[in-house]
Amino acid sequence: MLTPVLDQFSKWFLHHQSFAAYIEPIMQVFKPGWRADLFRAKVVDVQALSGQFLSISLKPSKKWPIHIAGQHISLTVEANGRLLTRVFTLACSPAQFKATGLLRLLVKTDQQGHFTSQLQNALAVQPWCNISLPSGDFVFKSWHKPSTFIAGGSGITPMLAMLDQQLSNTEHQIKLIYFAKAGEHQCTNELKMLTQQYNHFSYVMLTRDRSPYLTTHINTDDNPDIYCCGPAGFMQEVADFTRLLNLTYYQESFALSMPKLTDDNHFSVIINKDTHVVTSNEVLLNQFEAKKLPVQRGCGIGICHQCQCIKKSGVVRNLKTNQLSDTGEQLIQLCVSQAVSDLELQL
Amino acid sequence: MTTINYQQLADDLDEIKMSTLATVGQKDANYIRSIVRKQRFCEIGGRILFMLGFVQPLLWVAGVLLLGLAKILDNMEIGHNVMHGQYDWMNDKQLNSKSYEWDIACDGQSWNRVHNFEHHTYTNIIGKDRDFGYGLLRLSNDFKWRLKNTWQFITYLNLSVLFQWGVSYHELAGERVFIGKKKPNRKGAVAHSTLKKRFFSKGARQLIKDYVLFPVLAGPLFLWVLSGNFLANLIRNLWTSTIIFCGHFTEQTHTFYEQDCKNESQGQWYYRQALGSSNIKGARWFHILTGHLSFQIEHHLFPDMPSSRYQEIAPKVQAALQKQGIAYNTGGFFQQYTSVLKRILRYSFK
Ligand code: FES
Repeated sequence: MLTPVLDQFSKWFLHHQSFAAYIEPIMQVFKPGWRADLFRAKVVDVQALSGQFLSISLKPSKKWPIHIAGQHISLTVEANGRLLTRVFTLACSPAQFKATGLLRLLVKTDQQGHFTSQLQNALAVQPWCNISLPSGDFVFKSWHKPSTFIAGGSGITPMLAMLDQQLSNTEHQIKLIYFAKAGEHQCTNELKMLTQQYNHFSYVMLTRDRSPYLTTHINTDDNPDIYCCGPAGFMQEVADFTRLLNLTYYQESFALSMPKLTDDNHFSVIINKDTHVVTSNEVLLNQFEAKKLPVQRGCGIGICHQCQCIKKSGVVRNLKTNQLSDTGEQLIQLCVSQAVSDLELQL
Repeated sequence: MTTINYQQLADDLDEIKMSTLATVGQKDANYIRSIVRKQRFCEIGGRILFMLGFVQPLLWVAGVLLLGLAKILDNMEIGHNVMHGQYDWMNDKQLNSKSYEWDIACDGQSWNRVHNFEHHTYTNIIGKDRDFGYGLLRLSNDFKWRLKNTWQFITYLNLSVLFQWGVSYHELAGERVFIGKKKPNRKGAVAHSTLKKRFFSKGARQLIKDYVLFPVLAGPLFLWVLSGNFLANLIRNLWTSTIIFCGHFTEQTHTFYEQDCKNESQGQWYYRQALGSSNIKGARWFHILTGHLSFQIEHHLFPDMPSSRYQEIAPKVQAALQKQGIAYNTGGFFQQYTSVLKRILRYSFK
């Protein structure tokens, strides 16, 4: 009752989106890492696994609501003063979370990605990070029929959570087809234990070079529901196959595929829900002006920040510094930004 | 007179900028957050002390000073610098130029347009930078003398007292929203209706907060709170106005003409920024209270570099300017302020 009043008061008179945002710096004195619109989580453990994977255990604050297996959260860490945010699927079921109080993330560290390369260092020095509410609708729906999970690389994470949560709730066959590079399959012990525990669960671990077809192991006679998580091209292949055979298909896209930058690439940009096409041989501001989008131009040379907007996702190059941005949410200056991938912006 | 090697100047200053920005990180983030934290403590502390004025009036005086300090920090070191985008790299929702709104009458977006863009791009170009004299004062022979300039010292004092309202009305005056003939060289970025709406909305909320809401909440202490708020606002207005005048209107600051600035190179742009500004010497606490506008030269050269770095780069900037024989205008507070007052008086008359 008091919170909405205080929030409105803060908006009008303290010029902050919420009262929590106004007192954030004070709260941080008592609770390090506390942030107004996110949940605080303690970094309990960070372990390096094979194939450049990190297993991260987080203990979220008591207020964090429980997720549904298959959902994701955004993880925010402070790395050298910058807040970096990325979305990860939780690799634990609600039951596991209740039992241990810990959330598990399995993160593939990718040397190219700004975020993941900094993540390990940041977590080593910052005992606190922040997480969002769980969200996403890539969750189990097939209690009354067989299902097949197809995972590619770190696409295994939602599957781990779903298997743990759902195997005891259904008697129908669940099969996991798990592709990864040789030696990079994660949590194999866990999977083995699940087969011992549940007769209706089976899995195969494959590498792409040995089994070029993703769909060979799908038992189409059972007419299973298909759940797929992996790189974009990977999921596309499975999606096409299921469409052909009329199978029910669910997917979770978790990674951004990044084409090489040559001078004249075309990318799609989602701005306030509309989609536009831009080229990479011109800064974004000029192109948006030509399209008569509601952009602000100031100096046009990267000084005044008039043209700044929020990038929700995608990568841009800052022509002033010649640096690539992160893939996550951040502010960019349109007058010095060149598209390097598909983008989502908020003007 | 030495001839200036503009290319060399640009290279030297760019080098200072790049090497400094490369080291910006945790330290700077911690710095600005700690200033915001202090600002909060001062603001909340000040408002609480007002209420204790009836126990001991000195507590009320302390409250006025604390709230004044909070308003100065919010206006100068936090608001001005965050809204310049100096801390945007932090990706912090509370500290970025897109969303920050300060505790003064002026709508942040309006200030961004006039100050960040107009003033910082066209610094001291007569006719383009309305910050030069704010359309109220005659500060160089570039302007025709008018009768009203005779009493412009009084105008200056009034402007200082009401500084936040001057800043707030600045864009609307330039756009001739209420009175005057529209200048042909201005193409307003925003509709007049929007300007008016945001002007009244922000201004009204500031007035209601300090002169209605908080005093009423204080009940019987209505007058203590009302007068405390009034004085805190006054202290902030006088302080910001004084600092900003010292940064731009000492006798030595130059003016420029539009035709001279056509096709300006980066080096020439730097040159103009350096000569259009002046610094004030002082202790660290003084620099923080001025929002590091005591390093006005550094700020004008690198408006989006975190203010936490101006002090550190100042000697390098001075050296780079000296190498080209360009003046680096600095001095103690009283020296600079006297110079400002002299300039205002001198151009009061033909
Ligand atoms: S228009 Fe000024 S920074 Fe882009």
